Amino acid sequence: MVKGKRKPLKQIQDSIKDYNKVLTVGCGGCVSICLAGGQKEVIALNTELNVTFKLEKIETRLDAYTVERQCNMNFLAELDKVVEKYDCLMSMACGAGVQLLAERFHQKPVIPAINTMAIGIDRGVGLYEERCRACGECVIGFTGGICPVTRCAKGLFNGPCGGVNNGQCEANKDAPCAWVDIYNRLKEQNRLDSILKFQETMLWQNQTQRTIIQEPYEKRYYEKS
Amino acid sequence: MYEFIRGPMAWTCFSILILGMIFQVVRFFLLTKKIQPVRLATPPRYIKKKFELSRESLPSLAAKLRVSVVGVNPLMTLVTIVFHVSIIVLPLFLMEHNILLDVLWGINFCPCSFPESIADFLTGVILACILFFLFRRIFVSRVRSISTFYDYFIILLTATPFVTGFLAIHGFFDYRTLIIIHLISVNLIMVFLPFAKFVHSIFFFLNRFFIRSEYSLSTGSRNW
Amino acid sequence: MPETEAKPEAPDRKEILEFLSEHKTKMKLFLKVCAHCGLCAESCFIYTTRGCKPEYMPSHKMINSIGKLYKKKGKVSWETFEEIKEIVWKRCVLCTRCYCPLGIDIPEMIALARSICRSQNVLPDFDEE
Ligand code: SF4
Ligand code: SF4
Repeated sequence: MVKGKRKPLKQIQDSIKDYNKVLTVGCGGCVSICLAGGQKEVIALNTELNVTFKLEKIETRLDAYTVERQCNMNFLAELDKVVEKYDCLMSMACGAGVQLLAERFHQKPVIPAINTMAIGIDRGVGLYEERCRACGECVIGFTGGICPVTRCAKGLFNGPCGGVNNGQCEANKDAPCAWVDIYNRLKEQNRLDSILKFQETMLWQNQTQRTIIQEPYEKRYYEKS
Repeated sequence: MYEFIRGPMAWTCFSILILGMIFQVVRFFLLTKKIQPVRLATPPRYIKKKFELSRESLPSLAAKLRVSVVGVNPLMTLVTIVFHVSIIVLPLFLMEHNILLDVLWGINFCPCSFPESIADFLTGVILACILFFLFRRIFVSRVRSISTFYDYFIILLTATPFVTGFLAIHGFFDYRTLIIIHLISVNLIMVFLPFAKFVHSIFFFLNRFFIRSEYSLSTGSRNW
Repeated sequence: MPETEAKPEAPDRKEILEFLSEHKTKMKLFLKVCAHCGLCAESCFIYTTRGCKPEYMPSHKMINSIGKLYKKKGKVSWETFEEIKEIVWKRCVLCTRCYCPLGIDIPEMIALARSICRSQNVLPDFDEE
């Protein structure tokens, strides 16, 4: 579902170096599934930071705790007793989780350790593909189960732009044109009339589909450089 | 009886071991499917990380080690590795076994056998590991909670050939009885290996090297 | 209120067996390969944050859910199903992160147990959250 990726270590380090006792809070939901913020990543991040701080002789102590889901108050209750001892919380949940954590413990600074990237699907171990922008107006019923908002670089609602080249997108040569895919699928299902109706357009910024690869898995999916 | 155990029974068990292992491996490949590796266009700024030991790489190496099984369960990892390597190495390099091979079929491995002191030491190590496993099973509550009679039986069965072999070599008790127990237990282990709890010896390699998962020891090319 | 179907006297053994036999080889293999070593325990955050109690260890959950259904050949009572329901929905969130040195896919087994529960209309209590 929600896919995230950890922030660069340096950035995390800078944001917590002024605190003495930090609690890193993991989440057992989506970010655990996408290998970004589960118990293992929490422990790995803490170890990495502890060693870094030790080398630089900075006195910051980090502890770890992973809750079932940070986007639900009920699961945050168990933190009440734990949190008191710390002067900063660092959350490894998605943006939603971080905000709920910040809401419950509003007297403490809450810092995100991962970037929430997308709503996506699992393609492989540590490899994810964005599939939904949560635009709030789902149109994939008309478009053969292919999202034009996410997949089309221009978020077009009524057929492709003039830049299609051999079925590829002009904004990203490596990506197939969403509208070519939509057309092919609907044709296969004999439902082409479904895109003949006019769809109200939305004003989206140009964005190409994002792919999230966890850093340790990069070499698995990239060609040798 | 001794002749029977040493002859037909041993050969039968050995064949079961080999055929059983082949069966498990073949079935594994029939049950699993090959998956196509995913390859993406490399972004221009991508730099492939190389392994290096430096002040900069120390934190991330420490983190990797900490979350691996070595960092989570150091003692158990060490004991497990030492134990499994020893139980394979010791029988292969034992002087008495190699002399036997030489006498029976003229295969001469004798020069690369372990001297007695090393063999005794390794036996000691193996038995210590077995005791560790046994105590862990009895005293660590989470391990006890899933232990069955079968698990204890397996531990005892593994210990038997090493204990009897050691005693026989050093001339304790009745040599012939000891050797008979020694052979029977080894035969049993051979039969158990491809079909009972010991199949983990085969599936450790199959699962961890071929199946694609977060913890696979290779990129992994197959799926169930 | 719509009329709810009366609960049958016992779970439908035939249906459970169908589920089990569909995944039999792999399930049998996983249950057999498991060395009962307990190394999976710490990889489960549910185990570590709920006081390291054995019943939260991944293998314990697998053995007592799908393992039990398999061992009893599908002949289980509603009480057992309640226990299994508790295990597969309350003690595991299917985060798929458990480590097993032998490569056993525990979440998949838990998911299978969940499907069998659903087939018998044993469902998680959603309203509690
Ligand atoms: S780590 Fe694997 S083999 Fe060990 S108890 Fe857990 S599931 Fe079984
Ligand atoms: S999948 Fe279930 S058993 Fe495995 S780590 Fe997650 S919660 Fe624990």
